[in-house]
Amino acid sequence: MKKYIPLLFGDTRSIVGVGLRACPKRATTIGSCPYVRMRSLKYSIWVLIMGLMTFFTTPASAALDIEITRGVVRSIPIAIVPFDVNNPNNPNDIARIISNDLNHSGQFQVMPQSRLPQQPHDADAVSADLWKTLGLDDLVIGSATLTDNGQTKADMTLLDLFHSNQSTPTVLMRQSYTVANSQTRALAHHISDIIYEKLTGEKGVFSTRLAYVTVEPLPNNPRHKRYSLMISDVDGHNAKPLLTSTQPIMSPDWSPDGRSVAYVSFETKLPQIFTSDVATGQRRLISSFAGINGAPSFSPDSRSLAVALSMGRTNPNIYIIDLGSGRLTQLTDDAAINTEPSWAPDGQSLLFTSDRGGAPQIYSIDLAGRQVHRVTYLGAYNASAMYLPGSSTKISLLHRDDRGFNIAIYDLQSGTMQTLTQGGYIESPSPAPNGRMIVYSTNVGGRRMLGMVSSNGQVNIRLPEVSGDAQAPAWSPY
Amino acid sequence: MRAHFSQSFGYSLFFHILIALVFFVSLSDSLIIIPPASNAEEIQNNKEIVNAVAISQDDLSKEIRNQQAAENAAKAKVANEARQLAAAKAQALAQIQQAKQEQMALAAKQQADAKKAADQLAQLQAQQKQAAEQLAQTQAQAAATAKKAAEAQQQVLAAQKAAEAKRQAQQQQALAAQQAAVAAANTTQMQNEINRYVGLITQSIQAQWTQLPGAGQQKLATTMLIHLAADGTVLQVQNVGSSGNPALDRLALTAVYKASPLPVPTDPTLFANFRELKVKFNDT
Repeated sequence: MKKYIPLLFGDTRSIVGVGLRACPKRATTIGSCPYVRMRSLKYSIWVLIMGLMTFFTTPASAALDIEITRGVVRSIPIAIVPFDVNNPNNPNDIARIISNDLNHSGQFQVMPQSRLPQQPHDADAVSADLWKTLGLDDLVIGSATLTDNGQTKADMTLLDLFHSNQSTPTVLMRQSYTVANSQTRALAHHISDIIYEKLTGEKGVFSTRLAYVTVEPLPNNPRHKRYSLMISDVDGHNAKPLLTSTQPIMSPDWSPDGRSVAYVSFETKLPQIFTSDVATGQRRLISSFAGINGAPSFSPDSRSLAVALSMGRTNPNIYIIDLGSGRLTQLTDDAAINTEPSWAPDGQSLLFTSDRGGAPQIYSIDLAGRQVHRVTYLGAYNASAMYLPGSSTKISLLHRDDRGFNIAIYDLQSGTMQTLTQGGYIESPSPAPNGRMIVYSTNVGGRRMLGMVSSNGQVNIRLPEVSGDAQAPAWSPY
Repeated sequence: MRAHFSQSFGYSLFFHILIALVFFVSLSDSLIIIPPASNAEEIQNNKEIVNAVAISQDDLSKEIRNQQAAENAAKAKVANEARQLAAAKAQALAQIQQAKQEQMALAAKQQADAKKAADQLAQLQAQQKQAAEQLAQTQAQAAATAKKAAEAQQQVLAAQKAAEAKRQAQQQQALAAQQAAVAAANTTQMQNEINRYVGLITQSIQAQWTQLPGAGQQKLATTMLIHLAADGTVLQVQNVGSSGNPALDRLALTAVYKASPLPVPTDPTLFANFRELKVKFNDT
């Protein structure tokens, strides 16, 4: 069948050197092609049909081969049209929540609502050409209406403007939901998730949560402080305390199943490691050894905690506590400070911070052979290392250079360090479960706030919703 | 002399009687051609006469005299009218005769004209026939001439062909070498042009290709078959080798449409190489 292709596409002579493949020489041009001189109309129609079938079903052999090796690191331009809202009881602007989510993800560039040329609510009313000229790839439209029984019914349509050269957009996704009014914010985050996943090919993190510690002066006793272990939506909304104490709370870490948080509490004036069930608040004391009990980190299977224990000495070492049996396993045993253990995705090794070389650097230890090797050499200070989820070769860490303490991505294979922030004064980086964002705390005008930076460095935002000093954020799993 | 006179008188009487006879005949003829209106008038006059008779008996004799006088006058009038009628009849006869003569003359003339026209037509047909014969003759002559010329030309062509074949045979090797050199030069030039446009197209699409967030982690690749219009407009894009990641495939598709129209050569021969492009996107 392929021999009919030249009839449709004309001259297809073979060009050596750019990958053009040869076609039958006898059919190189229309004039000389023997298949053009047909003896009957029937035959000609048959040839035409065969040619069209070939055109639409199989790759032609005559195409010029071109290879593109790298795309551009760029946010996907998208517009979220304000939903057609008919629900006076619902204060949440679904489109605005989606816009914020996608904007903060680092993977999208959301057109500001003030710049929208139209606000269509119906896919049929969308002219792809108009939105294309604004440089957009995709468009989200929808509605949110009050149902008879007082719930919110939301419809969402994701339109692809460049799926064809037609002026009508292509519907990529269309979803309809009915939720309680109190759940519209959660619904908006869910819609953000499915849009993100549809367009980037990986799960969105907008329905995940943050754990962090806030510090506020006590209202009736300003000299004393109140420490709260908070759980909030990923945008800082919907924050609720899991634990409140007059003594410091430190280092929260989520269990991989998302059900509980491990943390250090000084409620007895001495550091102890607890876990709390996020849903019920039920607590469990895990570690209360002499001296330092710090830096808990759940293993990938959620069955054990890696911790830093000093066991009465001046310096902490790395241990593993089996949560089922309580059995303790010591991994490091030296006189340096060894802390901030963090599991490799396969659970076979740990990263940790040690000053055994004179300054804090990242080291790795494998559980089977207890072999320790130094990971970072660039810079005088590297700490708080964690594997970027979804990657076995990249770690996020706190890196100090001449601009202060900043978040960096270190590539274990290439040995390169990419700094993502410039402001300095940054602490406690914790990557999102898809590895695309890193939450941290930073000092803004003498107050500690939470911020997020995309792991490509494109987007860096603050979470203004958090009241008081906020520190030690930890990003939940999916 | 007296005898002669009486004889003359007899002739005269005879003729008068004859004339009177003629008059009566003419009068009867006149009576026949009198229209019914005149007839009615006369009837009315007769009625008056009857009425007059009914009115008076005394004036009868006087009336008889008058009537006789009137009869005489009427006779004279009739005679006069008869004379006039005779004259009119003679005139009418003469007119009819003249008309007949004129008609006959006209008929004769028409006949003569028709004959003349027929003669002319015959003459014309004869001329046409002659012309046709001449034309046929000329054509035949021309055909003969053409045939002779063609034969001559064929002979010349055959001679030329033979000469050309001989010349070609002589120059074949040199020509082949020359053609090979030209073809090689053209191909190189064409290749250079094609490579140049391939580079431009690669840049155009690459600039529109947004990398996935996890670019390079899985070494994915997707291949698009692109059909182009002569101005470089992307007509149709087929994914002929999916990466398995729909988002990557879609970003590649978007890049192609966003890059439309692609830079393509305006020369039709060169453009023929660019109607179809097979673009492989490597997510490295």
